[in-house]
Amino acid sequence: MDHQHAAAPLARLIDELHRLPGVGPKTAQRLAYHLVRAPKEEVQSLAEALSAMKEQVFFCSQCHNLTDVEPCAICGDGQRDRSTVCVVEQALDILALERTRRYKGLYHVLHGAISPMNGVGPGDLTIAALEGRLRTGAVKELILATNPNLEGEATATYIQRQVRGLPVAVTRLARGLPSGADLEYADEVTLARAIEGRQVMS
Amino acid sequence: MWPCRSFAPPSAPAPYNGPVLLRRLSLENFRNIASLDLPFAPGRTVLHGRNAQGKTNLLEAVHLLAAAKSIRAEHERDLIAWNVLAGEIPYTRIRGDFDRGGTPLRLEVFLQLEPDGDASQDGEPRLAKRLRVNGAPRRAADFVGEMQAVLFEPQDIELVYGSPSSRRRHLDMTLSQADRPLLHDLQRYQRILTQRNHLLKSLREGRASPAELPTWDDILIESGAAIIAARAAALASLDASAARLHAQLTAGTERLRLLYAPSFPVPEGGAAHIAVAFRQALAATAARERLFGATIAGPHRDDFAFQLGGVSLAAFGSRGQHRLATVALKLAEAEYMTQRTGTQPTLLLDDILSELDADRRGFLLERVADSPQALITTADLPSLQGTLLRDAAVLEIVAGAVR
Repeated sequence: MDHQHAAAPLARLIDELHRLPGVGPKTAQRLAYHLVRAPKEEVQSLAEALSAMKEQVFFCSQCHNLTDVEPCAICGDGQRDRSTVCVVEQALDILALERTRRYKGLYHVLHGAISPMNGVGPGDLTIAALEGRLRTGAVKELILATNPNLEGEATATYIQRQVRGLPVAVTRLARGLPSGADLEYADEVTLARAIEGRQVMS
Repeated sequence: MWPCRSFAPPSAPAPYNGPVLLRRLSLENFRNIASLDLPFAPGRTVLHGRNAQGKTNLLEAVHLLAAAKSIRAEHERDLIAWNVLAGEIPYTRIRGDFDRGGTPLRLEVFLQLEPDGDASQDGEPRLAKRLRVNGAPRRAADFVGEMQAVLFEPQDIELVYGSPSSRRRHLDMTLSQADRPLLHDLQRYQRILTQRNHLLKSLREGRASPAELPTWDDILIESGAAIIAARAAALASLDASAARLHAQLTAGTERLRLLYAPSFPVPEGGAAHIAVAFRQALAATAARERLFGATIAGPHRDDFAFQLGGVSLAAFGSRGQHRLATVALKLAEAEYMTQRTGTQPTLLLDDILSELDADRRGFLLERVADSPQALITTADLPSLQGTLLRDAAVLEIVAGAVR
């Protein structure tokens, strides 16, 4: 984008911000001009937060979650069920699953999903490390919790094919109706999936 | 981890088998129509006027409300009136108010060139399309077919001898109106195909591992087999109806056939059998796929052909035979929609009557008389006098406005 009328340091900041996901050229300009007018302490605090994050946060050697301790808080928690591993695309997905307080097992973060279109292949994800974890024999169930979109499904299918032959049960998160919703408002696809995935009432 | 949807949940279509009648059509900046707000009655409406006055655009707008995309515009931005394209925020709005057995139904299509200057990859301004049902945003897959329409137009004959892709596009747009799960499958298949083709190109260039391919094969086959099964069933139904209608239309003895021409031999017995054949076809084309970096077998290469008396109409038919075959196809499409959904579609006849002789015109008008609502354009109103259209509402269109 052309910032020939912006002062050079400002133009540089706009370019840096524009590289962030979800930030278009207009938003980048707006943020940059906001920071110009912000108090010096505020801007310094932001800069410190950025560099502290980069210096102190790294990937857990076991689950590849973001952490500032090794192993991460979840892998290091002796209370958690070490025979179950839940595979997610992003570290953020762990936060969502943890909020349920239902899951007591471990995680494995892929850091993405297979997408040939975007040049992301299995080698760009942490699938080899996952296979290594499974080969220790400690894991009895692998829960594939990739997103229910095409790339997430392809990733789940790929992993399922890769771990065939290993003594681990592979499960996939159920897909269907969101709770609190009315049946009559569900779209055909979701409803069809819910019918396919119906369960015996015990 | 539910798919994040910023859309209001679509209301489930309650079982309703009556007609969906257009009561009012409002257009803004649609092709040559700056602004128009027009009431419609059930039954037949004749729109007449000289050529290039906007009659066709009106029918195209109604069809857009049924199919969510234009039947012909390769670039949908062409739907936005050219004189507002240079304006502040170029947009067009198409709004139809319908009567669905006493319940009002409002369908809106809104197209806007994004003002932000964020260009898409090809450097063109991005075109945003927003679809609404009763004011609530919808995805195309939850919008198409709220009302159904079949458009007859002079260039229909190109279906007979045109490209396979134009026939596929036509078939998909028609079937989707009556079969939303098919539309969903088609959209999904397209995304899978794009991903798989990228992978094939990466394999060719040594940037990916062959171990990635089986995953995409599985997903492609599952999705493609469902599409092929749906198309095979629909074409069998269209073939039977079109043959009967064509025989009535021509009083001829030569049977019209609409023959499905899939990219590999498709067995009987439903999606599971088709999936097996699809897998074999992928194996048989694997070497060429690597060479071209593209998927060769599959429903994206499907076609259908017109035959008359066992002979290809594309190769040997006359213009008149092409016309009658496509009129039979369109009437068969209307029957298909009615059979599948219970609702008779709105018939849109764009300057088609002048293409037919008196007998054939009479037959088509009888069909029109049986339909709950039909919009008919003509540049030659006197020629319709004395036909079934004498009790139709008549509107004159001049320079994009109704007189």
